[in-house]
Amino acid sequence: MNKFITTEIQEEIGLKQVLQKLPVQSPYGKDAKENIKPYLMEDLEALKGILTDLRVFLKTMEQDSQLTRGLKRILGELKDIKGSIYRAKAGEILSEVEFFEIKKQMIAMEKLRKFILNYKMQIAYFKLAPMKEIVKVLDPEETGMETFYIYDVYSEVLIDIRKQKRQTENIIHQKNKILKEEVYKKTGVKPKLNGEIIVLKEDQQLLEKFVDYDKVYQTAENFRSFIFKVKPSEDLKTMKAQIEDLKQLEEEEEFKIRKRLSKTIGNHAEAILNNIDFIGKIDFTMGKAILALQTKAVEPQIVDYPKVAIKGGRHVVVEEKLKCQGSDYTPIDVNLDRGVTLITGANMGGKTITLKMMALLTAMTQLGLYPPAEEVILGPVAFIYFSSGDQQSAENGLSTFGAEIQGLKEVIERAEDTGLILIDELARGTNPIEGYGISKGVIQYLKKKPSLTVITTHFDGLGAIEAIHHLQVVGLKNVSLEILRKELEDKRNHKGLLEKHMDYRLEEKRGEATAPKDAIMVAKLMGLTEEILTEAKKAIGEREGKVDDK
Amino acid sequence: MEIMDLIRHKYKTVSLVGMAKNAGKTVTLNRLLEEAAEKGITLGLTSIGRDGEAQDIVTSTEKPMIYLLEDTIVATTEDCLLRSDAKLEILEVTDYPTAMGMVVICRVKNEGYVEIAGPDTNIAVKEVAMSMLSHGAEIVLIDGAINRKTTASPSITEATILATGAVLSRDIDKVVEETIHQVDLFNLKPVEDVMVLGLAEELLENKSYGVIDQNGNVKTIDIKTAINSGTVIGRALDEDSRYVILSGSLVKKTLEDIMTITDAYKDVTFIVRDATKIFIGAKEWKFFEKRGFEIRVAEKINALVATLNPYAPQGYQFNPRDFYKKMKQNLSLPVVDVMLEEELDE
Repeated sequence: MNKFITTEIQEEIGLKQVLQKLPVQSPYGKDAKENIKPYLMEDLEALKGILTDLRVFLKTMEQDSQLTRGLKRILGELKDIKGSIYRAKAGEILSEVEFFEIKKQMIAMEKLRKFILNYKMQIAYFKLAPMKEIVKVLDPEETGMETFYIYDVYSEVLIDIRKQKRQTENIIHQKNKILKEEVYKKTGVKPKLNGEIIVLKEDQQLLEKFVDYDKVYQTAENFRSFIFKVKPSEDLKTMKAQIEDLKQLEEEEEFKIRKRLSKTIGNHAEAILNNIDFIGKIDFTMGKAILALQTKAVEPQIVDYPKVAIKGGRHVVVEEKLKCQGSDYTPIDVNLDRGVTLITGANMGGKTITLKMMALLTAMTQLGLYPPAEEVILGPVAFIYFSSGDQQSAENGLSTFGAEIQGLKEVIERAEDTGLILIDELARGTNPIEGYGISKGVIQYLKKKPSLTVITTHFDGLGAIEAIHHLQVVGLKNVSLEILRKELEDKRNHKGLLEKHMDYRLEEKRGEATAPKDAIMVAKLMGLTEEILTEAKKAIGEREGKVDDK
Repeated sequence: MEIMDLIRHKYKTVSLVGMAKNAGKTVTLNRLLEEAAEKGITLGLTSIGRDGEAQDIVTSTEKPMIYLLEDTIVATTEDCLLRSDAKLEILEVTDYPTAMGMVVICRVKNEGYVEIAGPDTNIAVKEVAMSMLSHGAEIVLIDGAINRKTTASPSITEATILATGAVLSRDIDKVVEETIHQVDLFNLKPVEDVMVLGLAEELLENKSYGVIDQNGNVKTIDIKTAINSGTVIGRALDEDSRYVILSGSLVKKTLEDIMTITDAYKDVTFIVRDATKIFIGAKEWKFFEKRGFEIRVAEKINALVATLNPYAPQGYQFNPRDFYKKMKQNLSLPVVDVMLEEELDE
């Protein structure tokens, strides 16, 4: 995953946040989600397959809302029992608590298996192997209860031991009762359940009765009283010793049974682990489907050559933030092929968000998720690189420019690999003359490479480079200046004015060399002091020989 | 008198707390088990955990080994379960962790000794108790503690049995006095104002301290524990303060410190979670009451019966009849001597 897209970039483009929104119900689904891997060009068929699975699931889900409800209920109860299964597979002996957990899960697996079978979905991992056999082993009395106990029926020997133990216990109880009653009759004092009798020293009469009585013996004496105990008869003593022996035999027999059960589970380990893997995938597929519905995503069309064509693409994280502020996200169309695409346009024109949107939708598609757009045609890329142009790398002692160049250097080395390279405001961290030079060099170099490169810039003249694709943010171009002026006069507060008029969409540009000069207008709309703006216009006029009247 | 008669058909969850170690709590517990066995009552049994202190695990001092009869429902930890002498059927493995594994609910299939250690938060104890009831227990007994370390409190049960005994003091009158005091604390009035109670519960839930003024404004006080922090609380009080909420334990020193720096406490009601959080002796309590302190609880404990143990492990003992008589005269609840089986009412 890191080779495809680094953790920092995952975070920067909002992929981390999107994945956080993908819900899973079980520890197995969580595993599947954490081990998510991108599908590359060589996995084309697998990618198509996984996207088809998602389509099948979504279709079934739309037809019957009970599907997700039922799945959530069963999956939500599952605990991670892989550890116990591995232990059994390795020949170790499991504890009763482990058998309990396994039994419970096998019953749940059977329930899940039957539940999804009803829906007849043509998805390979929606066919779980039956676990009836193991359920039967762990529920030998076929009670259907989720409880566990080393049941008598596990072995004849056990039945016999337990029977003897119970009989002996009963005889002991009875004999004790008789003994105590005898003592009670003789002395008028009822011994406690543990056989103790406390006699106060001041009660001479009673004391004499006990001292001479052969059915009791004195166990302790304290300041005020003597404590006597009912004397167990010889046969009672023998029986108690018998019980201890029987307990030991029972333990040994139970151990044998646990060993046998562990072996059975060990023998089925592969099938169980395979089911667990499938359950993870089922859970993850449901999560992907829920995410797709929530983000109004679409099934992408996968092609076998590198391409990113997006119609009405939305950066869902930004969209959500805007929604909270009461504004809408403008869906963007973009069509990338091999070579370099240049994006120019107004400040605040959404170029950075558009770059992130391309990265996010490409990453989501290649991870087997539906991208939030109206239509996506995508040929897998080998990696996704995004440079924001303002990354700092303090720990490496690099400045903004230094960090940008460092990243660039690394990605240039991989440019033959057919990646998606997105560079925001290339070389903006240095002086405009050299910045322009470096940008031109990078574009000239990358346009010959198989990678899909998108570069945003404010530098003039880059759009004139041969054989590149030039897009421009529509920006404020189509807004009437009259209206803008009027609104500026009306409103003291400029907040929201810019966003209201800014057109974030991209349009094709051919042969035009200059980048649009919207910066002063944008600054004005944002309410920067008029004095500064006048001075700025004057300075531009002096340099270019004429005053831009915008 | 049979203790079970006081419980059956009235309460479903009952806790058992001892005023000190060796006050006879385990004897009382065994007596309850015997009574239940005779009456054919299916019991559910668990204990409020001890925050998994290592020492307890090693020495097993606080965890009682209890002899349980067939069909009893018990909630204990995985480790205790695997060590138990009784044969247990596992009914449920809960999500409540302890230092000794998850809390597991079992049914006794064959009688024997079981080591009991349960969950240690109020929510967990409540849930586990509910679960035992659903698995067929008629009454759930919770072996509790008056202990600074546990967060779970007997107030979550419908009724509480108090075990007291000679171990508290060589002076019989002192034992009676402290027991009366403990019962008085259990009977402390809960906060009546619903709004104040809501605010107090919120603060207690977050384990924080705070002052509520006459307009219902809450000012939190930044302290980790009330011990040694009376000065901070005292400083936070002014003439508008009406309630002080104290999470954690209330000790003598806190009130003394408050008293030395302000007299604003006289118009203030102090609120603690429940009576088991108060660690102030009978004499000092009277002193503070006289000085104008008013202390209330958020959760009341319903004291049901006091059990007596006239023997002290130090080697001395009281005359059981005198002890019983004194307790009976002075306590507002039924009294049972758990060491002597014979009837003491003569």
